[in-house]
Amino acid sequence: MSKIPRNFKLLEELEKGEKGLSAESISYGLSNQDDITMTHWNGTILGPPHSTHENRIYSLTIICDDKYPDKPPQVQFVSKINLPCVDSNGYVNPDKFDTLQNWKRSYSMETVLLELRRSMASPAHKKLHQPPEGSTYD
Amino acid sequence: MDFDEVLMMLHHCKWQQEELMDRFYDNREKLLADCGINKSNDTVCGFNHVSSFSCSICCEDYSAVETFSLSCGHEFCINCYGSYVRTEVTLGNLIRCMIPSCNLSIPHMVTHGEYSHNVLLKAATISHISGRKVNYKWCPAPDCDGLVHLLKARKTGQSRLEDVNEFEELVDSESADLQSIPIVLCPRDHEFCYACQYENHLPCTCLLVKRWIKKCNDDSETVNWIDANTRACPSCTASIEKNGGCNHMTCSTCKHQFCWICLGEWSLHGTNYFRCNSFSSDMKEQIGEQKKVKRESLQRYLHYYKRFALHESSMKGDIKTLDKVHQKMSIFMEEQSKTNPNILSWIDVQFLQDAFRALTSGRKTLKWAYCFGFYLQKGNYADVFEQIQEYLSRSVEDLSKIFEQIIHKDNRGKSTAIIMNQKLDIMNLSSLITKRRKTLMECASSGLADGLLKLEML
Amino acid sequence: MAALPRRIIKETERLISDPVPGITAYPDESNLRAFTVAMDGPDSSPYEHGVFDLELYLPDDYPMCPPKVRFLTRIYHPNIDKLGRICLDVLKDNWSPALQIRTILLSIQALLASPNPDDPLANDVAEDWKKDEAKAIGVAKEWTSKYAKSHTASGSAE
Repeated sequence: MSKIPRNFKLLEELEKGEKGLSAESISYGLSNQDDITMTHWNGTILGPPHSTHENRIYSLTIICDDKYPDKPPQVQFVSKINLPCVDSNGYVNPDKFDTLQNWKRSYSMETVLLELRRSMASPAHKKLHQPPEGSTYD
Repeated sequence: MDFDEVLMMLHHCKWQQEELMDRFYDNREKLLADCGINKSNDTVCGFNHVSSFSCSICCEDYSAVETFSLSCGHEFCINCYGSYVRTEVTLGNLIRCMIPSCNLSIPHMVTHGEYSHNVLLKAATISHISGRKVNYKWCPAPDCDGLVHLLKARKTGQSRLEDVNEFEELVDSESADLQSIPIVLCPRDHEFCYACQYENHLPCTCLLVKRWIKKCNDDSETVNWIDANTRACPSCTASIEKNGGCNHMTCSTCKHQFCWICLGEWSLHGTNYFRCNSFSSDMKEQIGEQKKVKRESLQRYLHYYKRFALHESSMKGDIKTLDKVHQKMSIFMEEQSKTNPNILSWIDVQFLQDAFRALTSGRKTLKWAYCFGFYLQKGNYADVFEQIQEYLSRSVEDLSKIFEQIIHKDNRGKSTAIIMNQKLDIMNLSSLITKRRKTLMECASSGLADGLLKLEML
Repeated sequence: MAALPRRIIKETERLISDPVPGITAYPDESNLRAFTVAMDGPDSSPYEHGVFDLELYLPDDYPMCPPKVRFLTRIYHPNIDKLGRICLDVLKDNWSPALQIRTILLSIQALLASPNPDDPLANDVAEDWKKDEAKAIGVAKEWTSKYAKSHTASGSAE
C-alpha cells in the first residue's frame, strides 16, 4: 500500500462525510467550507442509548494539522462532558484515549468520533453524572 | 446478426427488447456503432501468445506474454486486460476497448479462465437488476437464485395496490387487509412476499412479521432457557434458577424465601417439609395480580413461540424427508423405464409433487398462523380460527407421517410399494390441506375485514 | 513501500524529459506517487497569465483507476469548487487506463479554456456564469491576478 498524502486522505474523509456514508451516530465536516487547507473540522456525536448521554448531541472541534494523518488530530469537546479522557477545557487527552495514543495512519476522524462514543457507552462510563445538557466550554 | 451481437445490443439497450427494436429499425448502423459492434473490420478479436511485446498500459517489456485484442487490433497484455475487466465488470456496462477513442465492446462470449461469458453476463444482469430494485426481487429461500420480475401489480380482490412502489409502504402499514399482500412464486416454486421479501407469511401482515421476528430475536434465546430452568419468584417475579437439590429457595433479588415446589412462603412450611404436597389456594393468591400478568404474558408468548418454532423445525425435517422420497422415486422410475417403460410415467407420480408442495406450504401457513394467533384478540371468532388451524394441523401431521413411514428404515425396499398403496391417502390429504389452508386464510382475511377478528399490536 | 510500477516510472521520466507545454509536474521526494503541478492559465481565457498550483496523486489501483487531482490555488471556475476539486468526466466515469497523467493535465487545462456551467461542481459560480457571463469572467480574471502568481512581465510576482 502506498501512502496517501494528507490532502487526498482528508478529501476522501470529507467526501464520506458529505455523502452520509459514515456511521449514523456521528457526523463531521469542515468548519469553513472554503478552507483549502482542510485544517479545522466540526464533529458531532449522538449520545449512545442506555447511558446518561442518551438523546444528547455533543459538538466537537477537530484540528488536522500538517502532520495528519501521520500524527493524530487534536480533538476538543465544545459541549461539556464528563469523561475521564476529556480534560477541564474539553480537550481529549491523547494519553488517556487509546485511539489517539496508539494512532495509526489508517484511522480517520470517523474512527475517533466512534471510539469516543464507544467510550461514552462503556459500562464504566455510561452512568457518569453529566453537566447540564447544552452547556459548553468557553 | 449472431447471438453474441444480439446479446450486446440488448445489454446496451438495458435489456429492453422494444427499445432495441426501435433503435435497430431507426438507424441500424448507429446502434451497432453505439454498442461497439464491429461489422466492417476483419481482424479477429481474441487471445494471442506473442514474443517481445511492450504493453502500453503497464509499460512492461515482455519477452513472451499472452495478449488480448478486440477486432480494432488494440492489443494489451493479459494482466492489464484482466485487471481492467475486473474493475469494469462491477459497473455492469458493456466493457469497451481501453483506448478511449475506440468504442468497441468485449463480446459476452469471449472466454478466458475466470472471465467466461457467464461472468460478464451475470455481472451485467446483476447490475441491471440492482438498478431496478422495485421491479425485481431475489427469492429469499436459501440457496435459491430465483428472480421475480414484477411487470405490473395486478389488482386482486379488494387490493388497492396499483403501483409497485406502494409495496415499500405496505411493509410498515398497520392495514389488516390480507388481500393486498403480494405473494409471488419464484421460478423454483418458492412462495414469498414481494413486499417484505419474507417467505409466504399469510395470514400475517408484513408488519406483524416484522414485530414478531424482532420479538423472537430479542426474547427467544433467553426464553427457552428461562422456561426450562427457572421459576418466577412469587414475591418479585424475578426469574430464579434452581441449581441444587434443595427446594428451599431464596430469591437473590428480593431475598424472599419460598418453596420451589409450591411457590409458597417457606416460613409457612415450618418444619413440615412436605406440607406443600397439599395444594393451598390462598398461597396462589399471595402472588400479586400484576406479577401474574407479567408472567402470564411471557407464558402466552411461549405458547405461540414454541408452536411457531416447532413447525419451523418440522418444516426442515419434512424437506429432508421429501428429498429422500424424491430420490427413491427417481431411482425407481429409472429402473422401471429400463425394464418396462409402460408401467409408470412421471405423470402417474405427479401427485407426489403436489403432495410435497401441499405439505411445505401447509407447514408454512401453520407456522405463521401461530404468529397471527399471538397478536389475535381473544373472542368467539378467534376460537373459530384456532379450530380451523387445528384441523389443518391434523392433516399436515398425517401427511408428514406417511412420508416418514416411506423412508423409515424398517420399510427399506418397500418405499415405492407404500407410495403406490397410499396414493389415494396422499392425494386426499394433499387436497384436504390445500382446502383447509384456503379456509384458514379466508377466515383470517374476512374476519379482519369484517372486524370479527382484531389484532393487538403489542 | 512496494516497488513503483514501471508505468509510473516511465510516465514520470517523460513528464520531466518531455514536459507538456505550459505544465510542469514533479514527483514529491518523499512519495513518488504524489506530484506537485504548476499549470499556466490558457491564452485568451480569464485565467491567462496566471500560474495555478495543483496536486496529483496516483492511488494503488492506478492506472486501473484515475489519478486524484485538485487545485491548490483558488480559482473562480464553474467546474472547480472552493476546495479545488475538479468535475471532469475523464477523472471519473470516462477514465481509461490508456489515459495518462499528461493527458489528464491537458484535459484540465482545456477545462480552464472552456468552462462548462451546465455540469457544475461549484453551484454558485455556475449560476453567476449563466446569469452574467461577462461579469463572471471579470471575477475569474480578478481572482487570477489575486491568487494565481503571475510570471509575466506585467505581473508583480512575490
